Amino acid sequence: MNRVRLPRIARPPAADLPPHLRWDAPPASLASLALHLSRREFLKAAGVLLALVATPLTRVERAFARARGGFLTGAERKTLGALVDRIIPPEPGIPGASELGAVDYIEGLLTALDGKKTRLFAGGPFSNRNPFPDNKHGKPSHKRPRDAFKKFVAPTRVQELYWRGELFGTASVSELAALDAQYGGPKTGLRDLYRASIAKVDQVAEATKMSPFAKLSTSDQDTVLKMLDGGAFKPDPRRDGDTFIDTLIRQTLEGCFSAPEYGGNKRLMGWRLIGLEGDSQPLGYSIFDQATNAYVERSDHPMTTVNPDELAGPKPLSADGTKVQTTIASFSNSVSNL
Amino acid sequence: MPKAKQDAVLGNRSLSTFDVCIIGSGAGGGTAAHVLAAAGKNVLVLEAGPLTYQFLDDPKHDPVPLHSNDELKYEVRQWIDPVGDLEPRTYRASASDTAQVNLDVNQLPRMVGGAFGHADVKTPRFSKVDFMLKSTVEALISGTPGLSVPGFGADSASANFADWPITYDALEPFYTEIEQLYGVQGASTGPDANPYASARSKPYPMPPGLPMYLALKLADGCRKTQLDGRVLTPHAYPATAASQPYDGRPACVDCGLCSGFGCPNNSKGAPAVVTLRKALLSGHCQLRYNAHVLSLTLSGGHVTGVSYVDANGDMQTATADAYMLAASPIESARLSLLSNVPSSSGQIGQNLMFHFQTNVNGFSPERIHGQRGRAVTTGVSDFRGVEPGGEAIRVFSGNQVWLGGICEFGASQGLPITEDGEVYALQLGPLVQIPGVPQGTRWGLSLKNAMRDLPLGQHLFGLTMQAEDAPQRTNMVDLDPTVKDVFGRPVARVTYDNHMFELGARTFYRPFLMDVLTNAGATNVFVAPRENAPAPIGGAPTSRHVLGTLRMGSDPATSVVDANGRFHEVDNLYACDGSVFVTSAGWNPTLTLMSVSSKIAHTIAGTPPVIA
Repeated sequence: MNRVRLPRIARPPAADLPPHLRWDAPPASLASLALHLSRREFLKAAGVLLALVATPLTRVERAFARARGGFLTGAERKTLGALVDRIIPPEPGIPGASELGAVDYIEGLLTALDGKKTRLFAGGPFSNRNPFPDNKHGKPSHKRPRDAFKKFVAPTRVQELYWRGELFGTASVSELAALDAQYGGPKTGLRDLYRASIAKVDQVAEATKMSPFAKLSTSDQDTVLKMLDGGAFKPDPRRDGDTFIDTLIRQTLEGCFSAPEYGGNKRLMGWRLIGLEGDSQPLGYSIFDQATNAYVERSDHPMTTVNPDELAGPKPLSADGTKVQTTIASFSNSVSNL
Repeated sequence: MPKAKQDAVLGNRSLSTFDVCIIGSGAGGGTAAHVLAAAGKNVLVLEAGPLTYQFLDDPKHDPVPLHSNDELKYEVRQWIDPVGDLEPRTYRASASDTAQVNLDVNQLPRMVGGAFGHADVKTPRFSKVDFMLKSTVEALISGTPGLSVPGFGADSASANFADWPITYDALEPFYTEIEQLYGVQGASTGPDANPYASARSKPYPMPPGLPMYLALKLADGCRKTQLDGRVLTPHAYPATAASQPYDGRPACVDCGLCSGFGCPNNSKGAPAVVTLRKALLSGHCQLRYNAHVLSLTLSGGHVTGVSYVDANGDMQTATADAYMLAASPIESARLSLLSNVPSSSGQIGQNLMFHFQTNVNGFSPERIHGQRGRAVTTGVSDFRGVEPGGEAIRVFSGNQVWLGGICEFGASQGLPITEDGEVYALQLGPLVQIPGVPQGTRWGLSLKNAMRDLPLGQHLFGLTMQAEDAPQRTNMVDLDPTVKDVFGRPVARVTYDNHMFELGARTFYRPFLMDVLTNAGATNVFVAPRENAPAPIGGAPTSRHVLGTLRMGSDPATSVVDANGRFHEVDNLYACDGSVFVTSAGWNPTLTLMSVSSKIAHTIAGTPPVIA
């Protein structure tokens, strides 16, 4: 497996992010207090008045979310949908991340431990997307397996401990809290991270563009996202230095391009978008023919020869694809003696 | 509400006394379990990882894997890896540094059947000279005026090379047994055979399967490339993937997700479905999984028991007449240290070796669809630096000796999240925000365009040289003084830095590796920085070829276990995994590991290797 691994290099802060909205700004006002405290601490600090105004509606919405087996409120889903659509944007007739299912995927992850059965590891061995091979005749058969991906595999005790910490925070799991000191403090769970960060996204949108994020034009959304990426969120040492934006990009990609049993990649549109076949078992790409004791390839998806659509020559890459290659090559060669 | 207790036991549940307790069920432990159970010994296997099969011990069903073509399950959510910061390791480059928590240091996957089932199961043999490299190179130096080799001759104190206490010829019957048992495909003779392999008593049990398109391109590049006056000779890569129905297993379908993934159709000769399966059906083996061994109890040079935390988190103990460590070198060494196993050599945990990888890549103008195939179908071994037949060292013009290693022909495997998207958005994105570099692909249409092109996933291809890594006493595993795992035990602290032996080989071979890529039609050829380069460019070594730490040898003053795998100073404790390796050689280690384990187990059982 040949894989590129590049160093993590800190991004420069965004010049246009108002200083009081930076993650490391000192608390100066009630508004900026909200950035530094957990929701509960903030409500306590903000006092009864704000709590009276803000809480009941949110509480009702949270109850709705729970009732449908979800976690995010309708408003939070809207903000999140607008965010993921800036990462993989829709184009006319071509889906973006929210249509591909990234929001459902992320909510599925945040609620993976809520049901009777955990939904972390899809089952095996096969989905029902490909037939069995017919080894007697060296071709695909008409028989398909049932979708075993749908039957999720139970985590081990230690895996479940880890995922409780990942979703709910390590402080809430005694076995993990015992290790927090050696890591410099507890890990914030993804549920709290998403909830607090979505609120912060709207706060920055309101502070700079006078409107919640989802209601902004896409170009204003891009401006705000760039601001957010330039210092609005703390790089988390418990998440390898990731900020919320890093986590969001990572999980948007997961939602677009993972197996559909995890809630995203709707109707395989994600894999279609990028021209990948996805899981290929049990058929695979070469079929053993018992009559000849030799392998037969699939002409539509050859293994030993060039793809049929490039027989006449390579299809050119886009400027963006070319830039990926040249940047990686020149950067790697500049440091390969280290 | 209390959960129902998990029952995590396979095999013969009625066994209550055991001849041998094996810690670890992978390539070493699984092989030993089979050999011992077949000889009628009652075996208890303790495995820390999860069970990833249904019906593994059911004689009425073929085992049904829970493995699948699922990038998220393996590469993102790490279904069969040690669990994140609950079981970390720490790493430092030298003893003068403070080790930092690092989840990448040799993250060997862990499950019933071990890490090999999660590899692309490449299984070349070591060659004759590998077992006697020390004496061979020393003799060469004394007979060749002006020849110097880092780590040998005048420089020998800088490394800890030694000959193995066993020879290729002594191991050859066990190589043959293991190749037949697991089912290895490969070319024994003809143009696809590796000219640097040593003589074999039997042909490979199966012919090579189909080569991948990218491999054919690279093989073509090799045939246009010369190394010191000799044209390179690419060859089929031996692997335990069945290329025809074999021992009840189907032929491999080249599904693509091979390296890093368990096999969904059992065509991969993984220990779980080969040796463990046989042991579990024999009536002489019981396996307890999700069982984390904490320590051995010793009394006067004798192991009296083993304590472990079971699948439910409860403390348990087990006893047997003899014990075998097969938890992989880092964990076997850690367990020895946690248990205060004696060794007057002072070398427990030392001589830790990885294979030192040099990765040279380029980009194919057309899509090379690396998702179709067995990850690596083809390789080239001229960079091992030996003469054909693998019995003599090659001396290059200018009186140079460089022992590199076999090169794998590889590419991305079609993993759009981790091989593409995360690189473009999370690694390259920040990188191209360096002043003067154009705006990157962190998000937006440029990211989407890059995903449509898959400039890495469909175009990156190259060579990975698995070069020999010099044994050094200072490269070692010990117990971290502060960091603990979720069971409250000190974690393994890895101290590792490179020797001139392997750095020099990298420098020597690198231009030739680049020539192969260029001659194969690649553009933008580049050399990846070594993984353990100084931060922020590098981090820790992540090679899964982990060797050494419980060195095998005849002299208790300079080795930990004897030629039969038994600890010199503990009468009923053995090691039968990669920890006993004396040198790392320049070949994927698992076939040798399994053959050595088989030899150790046959010696305990008093049985000969089984050869058809």
